[in-house]
Amino acid sequence: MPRALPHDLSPGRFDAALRSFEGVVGKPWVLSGEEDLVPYADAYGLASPGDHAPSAVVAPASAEEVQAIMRLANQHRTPLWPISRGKNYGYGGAAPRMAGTVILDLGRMRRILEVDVARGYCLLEPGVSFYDLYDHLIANRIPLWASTPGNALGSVVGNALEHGLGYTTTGDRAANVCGLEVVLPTGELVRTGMGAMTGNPCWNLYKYSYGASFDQMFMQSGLGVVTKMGCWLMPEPDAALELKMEVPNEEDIGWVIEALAPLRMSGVVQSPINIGNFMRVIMASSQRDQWHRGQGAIPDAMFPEIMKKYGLGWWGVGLMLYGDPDVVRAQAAQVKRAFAQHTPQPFQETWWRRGEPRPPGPTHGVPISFPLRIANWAGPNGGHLGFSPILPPERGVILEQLKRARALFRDFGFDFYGGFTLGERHVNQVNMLAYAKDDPDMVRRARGLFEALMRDAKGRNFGEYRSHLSYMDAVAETYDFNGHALQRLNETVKDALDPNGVLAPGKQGVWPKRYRGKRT
Amino acid sequence: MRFVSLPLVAGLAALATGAIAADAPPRGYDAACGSCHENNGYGVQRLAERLGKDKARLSQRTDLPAEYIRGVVRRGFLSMPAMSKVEVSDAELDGIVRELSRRPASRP
Repeated sequence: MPRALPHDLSPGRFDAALRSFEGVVGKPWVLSGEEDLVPYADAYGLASPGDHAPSAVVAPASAEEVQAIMRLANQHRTPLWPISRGKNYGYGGAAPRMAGTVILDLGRMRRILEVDVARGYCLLEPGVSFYDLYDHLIANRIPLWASTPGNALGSVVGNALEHGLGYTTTGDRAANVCGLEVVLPTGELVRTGMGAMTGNPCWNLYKYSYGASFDQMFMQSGLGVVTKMGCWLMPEPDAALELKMEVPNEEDIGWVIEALAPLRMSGVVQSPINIGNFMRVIMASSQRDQWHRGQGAIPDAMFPEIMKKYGLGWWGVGLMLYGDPDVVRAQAAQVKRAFAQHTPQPFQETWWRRGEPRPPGPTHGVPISFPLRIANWAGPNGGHLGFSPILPPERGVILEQLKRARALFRDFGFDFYGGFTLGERHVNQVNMLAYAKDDPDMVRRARGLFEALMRDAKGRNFGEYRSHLSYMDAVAETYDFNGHALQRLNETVKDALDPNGVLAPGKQGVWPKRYRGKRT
Repeated sequence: MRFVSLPLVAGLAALATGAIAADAPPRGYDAACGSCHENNGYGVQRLAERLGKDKARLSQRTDLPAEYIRGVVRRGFLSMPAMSKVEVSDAELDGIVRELSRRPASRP
């Protein structure tokens, strides 16, 4: 593959930039060899390899080095794409939006700067993985739990900034960010919230400051490079109760969501509730050809046999209650009462008590990696892509969305992996497309399905919470109130903070003036 | 020079009682590979399916040539994504190859 360079920079100018970066980080930490760049391609992506090919990598070891690189990038007009650990699988991995962008890899900055046991927070650099944080908490016998995702290989900071989800009480990770240190596109270093006051001990305790608060501005954006992040941790509970139920019918999802929504809103259930269809389990624990060798999706007629074999219902509902056992029992009674109006079926109850080994997985804040197996469903050289619109927790809306998504999956010949994560007042509907990267027809159909899902959701005024690089422009386009006023605001802010357009061009569909209208 | 700690800045110097900080240690096999290739991780499950249970944990393997390990780490293999020199430095990779080339019986 020919070397991808930023399309508006000459090779001479680009090489001068790389040499200047070497002066900051040292020669070994500027990478541009063919093999060096392999890990920065999107391992599971749908796009042609050239679409998101980086030109080089620069890996700083400190915020000061990030500042120096940013200033040099302005001087040489070199576009940079910051990554924390680059494990944003299903959304583009480590790859940049625009071909030729230089990866700013923050993976060397992986210090756990502080864990405050009494106040329940940590202060992290972006290279710290969920495994690193868990290992640190365990090794030091710190009675705090970090929220972990389905696949915990990634960065805590990166995942929170991308609005990732877990299932403990701090599972809405973006909502549990408190205090950022950020290098702005000009190279200036700022701290948000109370950190804006030198030495203030409340940086990671109170989310706002005096005047406007900017934490949200640096999430899913190309407006700064986060070099430190305060992150709240859940105090280890005395007990945790998992309530699970395999609900038999497809349409049961309507009453399940409606029964649980008030419990989430009132705080009876304090963590995101995880509901997934049986295919989610099947696809993360087997391969398609074990079940079906024919063309297209596994026929619905086979579903009863598959569910029976694994002892699954159409939907698996899992919710967690944490705290004093008496309180947890009282909360559980409320959940059971809500379900008893719809089904005589009992919950399967699994208690954990402090001192016992924690079961692996996001419900108990223990990192795991095996859900990445979804990538193997359609073949050994597989990939996956998520489509996740945000919905209101209303029975009619949920059932309609399910019907339409299911039909589109069937039309395009894909097995339906569907999940619903229930927040305090919303549902995040996760559709996962698993495909074989080496099957051009399947890749073409996966693209078609993604685009159809997006169009269909937009037609009903629903939008995605996060998307793959290749669809960032298209998803941004769906946010169209008042003639795309949000996009104009984004562009105004982008141009003010990043006049030379060096940071993350195209991130979330926001392009700096320099590349606007000349997208590649 | 890789994991030298910078002096903590003023705002962090006054750590509350009970605050525990840590510099990142260099990564060996467990830290760099263990999340997938031990403890019923993704790699363990995939290798068990492809090659059988006795070949599922890399730390128990004796049939992995050094150059093969390096190639898979740097270029990826099937659904295993490649690992960069930032994630696992060349020096760390050398250490991992040495760890894996010891006979399993001598491993902790």
